[in-house]
Order: sequence, then structure tokens, then C-alpha cells
Amino acid sequence: MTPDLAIIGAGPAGLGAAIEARAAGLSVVLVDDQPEPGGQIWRGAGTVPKARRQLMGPDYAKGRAVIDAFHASGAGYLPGHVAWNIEAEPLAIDCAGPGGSRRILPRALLLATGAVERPVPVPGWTLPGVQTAGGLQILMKASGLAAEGAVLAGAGPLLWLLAAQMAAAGAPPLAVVETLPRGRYLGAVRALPGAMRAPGPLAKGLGLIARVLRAGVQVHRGAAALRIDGTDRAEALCFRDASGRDRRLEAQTVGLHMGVVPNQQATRLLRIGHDWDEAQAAFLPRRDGDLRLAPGILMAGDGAGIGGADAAYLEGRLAARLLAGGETGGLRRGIARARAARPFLDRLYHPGAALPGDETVVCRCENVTAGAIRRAARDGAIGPNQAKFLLRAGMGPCQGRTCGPAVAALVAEARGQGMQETGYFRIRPPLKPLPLSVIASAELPLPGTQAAPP
Amino acid sequence: MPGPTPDPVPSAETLPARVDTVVIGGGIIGCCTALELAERGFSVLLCEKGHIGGEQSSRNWGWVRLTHRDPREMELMVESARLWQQLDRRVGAETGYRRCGIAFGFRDEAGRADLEQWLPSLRDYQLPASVASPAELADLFPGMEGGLQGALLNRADGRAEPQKAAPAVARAAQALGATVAAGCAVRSLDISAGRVSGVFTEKGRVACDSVVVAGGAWSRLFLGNAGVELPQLRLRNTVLRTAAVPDGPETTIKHPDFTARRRADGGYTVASVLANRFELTPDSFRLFMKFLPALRNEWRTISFSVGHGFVEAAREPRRWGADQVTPFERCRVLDPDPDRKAIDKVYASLQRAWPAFRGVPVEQYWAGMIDVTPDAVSVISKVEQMPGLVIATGFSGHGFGLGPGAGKLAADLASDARPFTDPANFRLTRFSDGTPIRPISGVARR
Repeated sequence: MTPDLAIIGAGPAGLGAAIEARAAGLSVVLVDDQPEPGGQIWRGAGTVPKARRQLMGPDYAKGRAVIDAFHASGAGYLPGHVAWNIEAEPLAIDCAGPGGSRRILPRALLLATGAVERPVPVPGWTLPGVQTAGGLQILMKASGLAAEGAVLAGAGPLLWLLAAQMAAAGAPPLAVVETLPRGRYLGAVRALPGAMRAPGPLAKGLGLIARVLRAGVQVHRGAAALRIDGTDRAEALCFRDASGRDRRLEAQTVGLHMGVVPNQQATRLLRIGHDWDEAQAAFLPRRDGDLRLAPGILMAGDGAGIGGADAAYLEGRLAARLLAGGETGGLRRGIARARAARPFLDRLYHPGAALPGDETVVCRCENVTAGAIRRAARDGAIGPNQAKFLLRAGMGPCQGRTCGPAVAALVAEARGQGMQETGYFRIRPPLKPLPLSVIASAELPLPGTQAAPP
Repeated sequence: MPGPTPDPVPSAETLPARVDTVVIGGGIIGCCTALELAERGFSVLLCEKGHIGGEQSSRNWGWVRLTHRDPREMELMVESARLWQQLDRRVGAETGYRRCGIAFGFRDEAGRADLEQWLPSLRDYQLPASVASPAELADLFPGMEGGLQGALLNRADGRAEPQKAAPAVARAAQALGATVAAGCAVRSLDISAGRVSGVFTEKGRVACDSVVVAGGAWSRLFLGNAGVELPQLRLRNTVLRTAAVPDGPETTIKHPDFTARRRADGGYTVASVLANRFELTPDSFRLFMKFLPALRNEWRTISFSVGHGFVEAAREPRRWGADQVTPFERCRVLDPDPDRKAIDKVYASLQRAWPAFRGVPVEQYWAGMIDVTPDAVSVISKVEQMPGLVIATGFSGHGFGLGPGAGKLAADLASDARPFTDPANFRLTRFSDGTPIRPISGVARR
């Protein structure tokens, strides 16, 4: 395949870019590992029954129109395809789908690979019944399932959104346990004037919290020392409340959340430079003012820094506009407006510096504890890669997607060095595990060798 | 007598060694398939033995109609009408598409009843069809006599310019990187390990993952050589075009005795099912039983002829190898002789009914071959026994209007995308799996 533009990711950024690029007459193919367009935020929004769409709220429901516009755009679409290898010079993408692996040789590439949830390694987080809040929300979007009597714990806007959605579905959570330290709300007020330039998100957030309280959900603020108890599965969430008392909430389902961070797998694979951003407490890929990571490679959406769905959609359109040519001022102003509340939210929901105790498992795939990582760092592992060599942390099925940020933070702490200096896993293809049959039957040439002429 | 001249399309001098998909046939179906695939980022080679739009795609009546559609085609046609509306913007050229409306006139109660039965299916799709009174007809067609008692009028029906559309679509595909090779017949398929791995053209082999056969009246011959049986006959239809008619009607008229469609040059394309002729060839007898239901419905409007075509077809080889000159290279453009007598009679009826046409000279006559299937519904289908092979042919006189939607569906099948409409109605196996074969709209009864 030889399109003008290849896009990886069918969330708001990828869909916005595909629609805009097709309108400008570019040939487009969009690769996505899900069976339907929408990404995580609009998962299933194009096909779920209207009742469920409404239940999930207006921000979810508006995905429907974008998905319809994408389907009508005439863009090529490879759903259920994992982009498992990306090369920069010359541009090439290998993606594996039901029919085998296919090589795409585009003129330009847009990464719209979005965000992943920050890992929340607390004691007991690997027990059955413990999920991420995002995982619980996906169950609602994709299958219409909401766990009864769940406890949601952590911090971030998603926690409140999910609680409100569960309440609307008739299965309000038993409790929301917020881990923000005392004084955080006051501290964030300094960023409030900026956020008030576009107060929509703040009003929405306050509305969500009000709805959760009205639904009779217990709310505990200022919680610390989260722990999930249970032998074969989750039985209770334990924490220390704001007054210093130990609390225990019986629950079969616990949803953990500490915000989202850019999914670095694709940008790390391409050896793009990354900078530690203390405000978002995340590594962000180095991108110029025209969304460019490298010649011919652009990135739009949360993958380049968390900005939310509205900003991502507009950034996708901006990326296509930059490639096709055209006026960009309106889109840039729209993005700035959509991100106006971000500094306030980043400050309010900053995950802080608390790291898991030595007994806590950090790499779930390979069962590596925080203590083991600290020991490896003290024994001379100067970065996460050495921890990986010594302990296999990051070598399991998730290829470090889940534990990467936590492993890096532990190494940095143990060695008393900054995150920038510590760095991150060196990511190699395949980005996700593949059956050997896919590689055996892949379109030649194999990654790392010369690309075929188009 | 040469047919109308389609707009020129530049042709590639050299062929790529490898593409994702090879499209065989540069008619409206092949061109739309190539454009769809190119827009989706696939590398495409479009091979045409003659020139782009040289056969039925530039010779048809230029109607884009939703009315009188086989219900099995409706979804495909609704999408096609939507795509026609955007086509000029999409290809950056003028294809002449206008929502001019088509009036299907009737002279008596039997005619009215026959036409009114189409109303419910049109309303199912929220299409603005109604029965127009004689007074409304007089507004639409000032001065027309001819004894019409009314007409089924659908303002969503339209027209486009056959000599412009396929070339414009082909040029748009080129602009997106597709290779268009005219004067380049595909001789046969290259099959490896039971699936399509390339094509042998008269200029050499090109490797590919999939092939779309959109060969119009030639598809049966090409597929037969590949061991795939496609029941398909050729129906010859004759058309004439007039000089410009000052203040002529916008709306297309279908009168029981004639049809007239305004052209971009101000003249009219005049045609009639009365100028249809089934060429009897050896295939007619091979396929007689399969086509019996179609013939039973329509035999009154079709005349048969045995001409030198019978002898030619009998001499045509039906099997050949990749290194042999094929019938496609011996006949670059199918250009049958027009049936002047029949079409002159049609034009005389038009002039009798309509003073505005009296004294308007005929500028050109031509004929074209309509490729007909036993149920008058196209085949847009994968071929089960040959992975990588897709057929988009047998449009039975409905292909021009259906072109954009058919190209989209063929592209879906060729690229293993989720088909936008259920392709079951268009599957090849319906002719062999015991499905009752019933023509509903028919070829000629439009």
C-alpha cells in the first residue's frame, strides 16, 4: 500500500485527521487494532444502542457523528490490525491483521496512538477483581456491563466520570476514594484563571461530582496507603483516611486510576527524543510547532501530551491541514481553547511522588516487585533497560506498556537521579506479541532491511 | 461507425512490477473501483485493452436513476446517488451529474398500475417519487403530445455525461498514484498456491494480491479462460444523439415509444428499449435455460438477430495461454453496428409527438453491448474457489448509474474491508446453488 497518509489509531485524533485529509483529496489509510473506530474514548460509539450512548453522556455520544463522517470519508480502514513495526527512513509500517501482515509505504505518517492509564502498583493490585477505571469503563461502553458495589480509588477526572456513568446505569459505586493530598485543591487554584478562559470542562467536572454525591455514593477525600485485601480475589479496599484512621471497604470490584500518560511505544520505537514533563509527570515526545516528530512523521492527540478528546480531534484535523496545505489559525485557536483547563487539571491531579513499597509487584507480566527493582538499581542498573536485563521487567506480553513509567520512577528514586537522566525502556518491534505465523508470512522485506520500491 | 469519443486519459508507458490490486477493464465500474482503492491507499493498476470508457460506459443513455430498480440493487443505488452528488468535487472535474428528474410516462390504466407498483419501494427510501398529472407533464415538457395520461416522476433521478464520467474518475485515480494502462489487455491470471498472485498482460507480468474483473461484455470470455463460469449474454442497444434543441426540457422523459435525455452540449440522447437486439451466438444456446425466465419476461421488447457476429463468436477461441494473442487484443473496442432502422423509427415517434424536435438533425448514431445476467442483477462477488479474484460485471444495463457504489463494493471485497452493503444479492454462486433466478426490474423494462 502506498497512501499519501497513513494514520495509526482510530481515536478522535486519527479520525479527525482521516476526515480532513480525505476532504483535501489525499489518499488515506487508517490502521487500528480495535474492530471499530472510536479509540478508547469513543469505543463502540458508532454502533452501540442509543440508550447506552446517552447513558455514557454527551462527550461520548458526539463520537457517533465523527465516526459516521469517517465512514463516509472514503478513507481506507484496516480495523483489527496491529501496527507492530514502524520504520522512519524510508517510512514503512508493518501491520498484522486477520489476513496476515501487510506493509504500508506512506508518503507521511500520523501517530494518533493516544494515552494509556498510568500504572497504580499498590499492594494487591494484581488480584482478580481489581481493574483500572478505564477497564471498567470499557466494559460499560463495549458490553453494557457495570459491576455492582464497586469501589473506585485514586485520582483524576475519569474517576468521577466513571462513577457518574455507573450511577446513571443504575449501579452506582459503593464509594469513591480520592487520594489527593490535603491542600491540593487550594494549590490548583493558581491555575484557575487560565482555565476560566474556557470553563466548560470545569463546569462539567463539578456537575459530575454533584451527580455522584446525589446518587448516595460515599466519598472519601485525602486517602492514602491504598491496599487491596483478599486471598484468591479482591475482598476489600483498605486505606488511611484524611483523619489518619484506617478504613476498610468490602468490595468484589476495585477500580484504580491515577490519570493517563502518553503511550510511548511508537515514538520510542522510532527513537524520537522524549522529555520528562513534570507538570504531567510523564515523558512527552519532542514535537515541533507543526506537530512534527521527524521528517514526514507527525503526532496528534494525547500521545504527544494529555489534552483530552476535543483537543485531540482538532489536532488530528490540524495535522491533515498541515500536510495538505491550508489555513491553520482557526484550528490552532480551537486547540488552545480546548486545552485551557489542562494546567489546572494537571496541577490538581498530579500523581505526586509516592512509590510502591518493596513487596508490591510492579511488572505484572514477569512478577517483578518494587524491591527487586530498587535492589537492581542500587546494584548498578542505571536505567530501566538494565532493570529489564536483570529482572525481565517489561519483557512480558505487554512489552512494558503497563509497568514502564513505574519501573523508570523506581530506578530514578533508588539512584537519586532525575527522570530525564533515567530514561525509559528501549522499545523494539514487535510492539505487541505476534504469532510466528504472521512473521513467517509477512510481506517482504522484513523490518530492518531495505523497503521494497512502491 | 465509431461510437462517441470519451474524454482522453493519459496512459502509463511502463507497468509497475507489483501492486496491491489489478483492475481489469477501464469502464465506469473499473475506474470507480480503482479510485476507491487509490483513495484508501492501495497501489492499483487499471488495465484497459482499448481506451478508458471506450465501450458501454460512453455509449449508454446517461441515466442515473433510482426508479425502476430491482429491490436487490436499491441500497447500492442509494449509495451511488449519494456518491454521484459528490463526484465532481471528489474528482475535481465535471461529470455532468444533475438531479434533473426522470418521468416514466404511461398511456393507459395498465401502464399506470405497472408504474405505481414501484412507488412503495421508493418511499421506503424516502425518495421523492409521485405520479405526475398531464398538467404537470405539460409544464415539464412543453409542447409534448403523445397521449400520456401521466407519469411516475422521481426528482431524485438524474443524469450524467457518459463520455466524461469514467475518464474523469480515471484521471482522479491517477492523481492519487494509480497506474492507468490503456491499450494493455490482461491475457490471463497468474495463480500460485490456489490464489491470485498476479496477471499476465500483453506487456508482461504484474504481481498483485487481488484482481477485480470489470470487463463488461468481455467478462464471460476472460473468466471462462480462468475456469470460472459466468452466465452472461450480450444485448445490443442503439442510440442516437441530436443537435442542440433550443429551450429543450431539463427532465428526462421515458415515453412508451421513446426516451430523451438532455446532454451537456444541449442536444439529446434518444434511445428506446425498442432498439434492443439480442445477438444470437453459440453462447445463447449454451445459456438458453439459464436465461429462460428473463426472456419470458421481456421477449416482446427484444428482437433477435443472427448476423456475422454468430460466425465470429463461433470462431473466437475460448481458451488461451499467457503467451498467445487473445480476443481482447484482436478487438480493442467493441463497436457494433447501430440498428439505424429501429432507432430512426424511435426518433420519428419522438418528432411526431413533439414539435420541438422536428427539424432537429441527428448528429451521430452508435450502438453498444449491454452485458446481461439471467436475473438482470450484476455480479459483484469474490470467487470462492479462487482467493484474490473479485468480479464486478453483468450490470445488465444498470451499470452507469450504479458505477460509484459498485466500485465501492468491489473495492471493499478486493481489500477485505467490511462491505458497506450486503453483497449476498450480487454473489456469483446464486446462478449455481439452486437459488431461484428471477429478473425483477429486467434489462429493458426501464
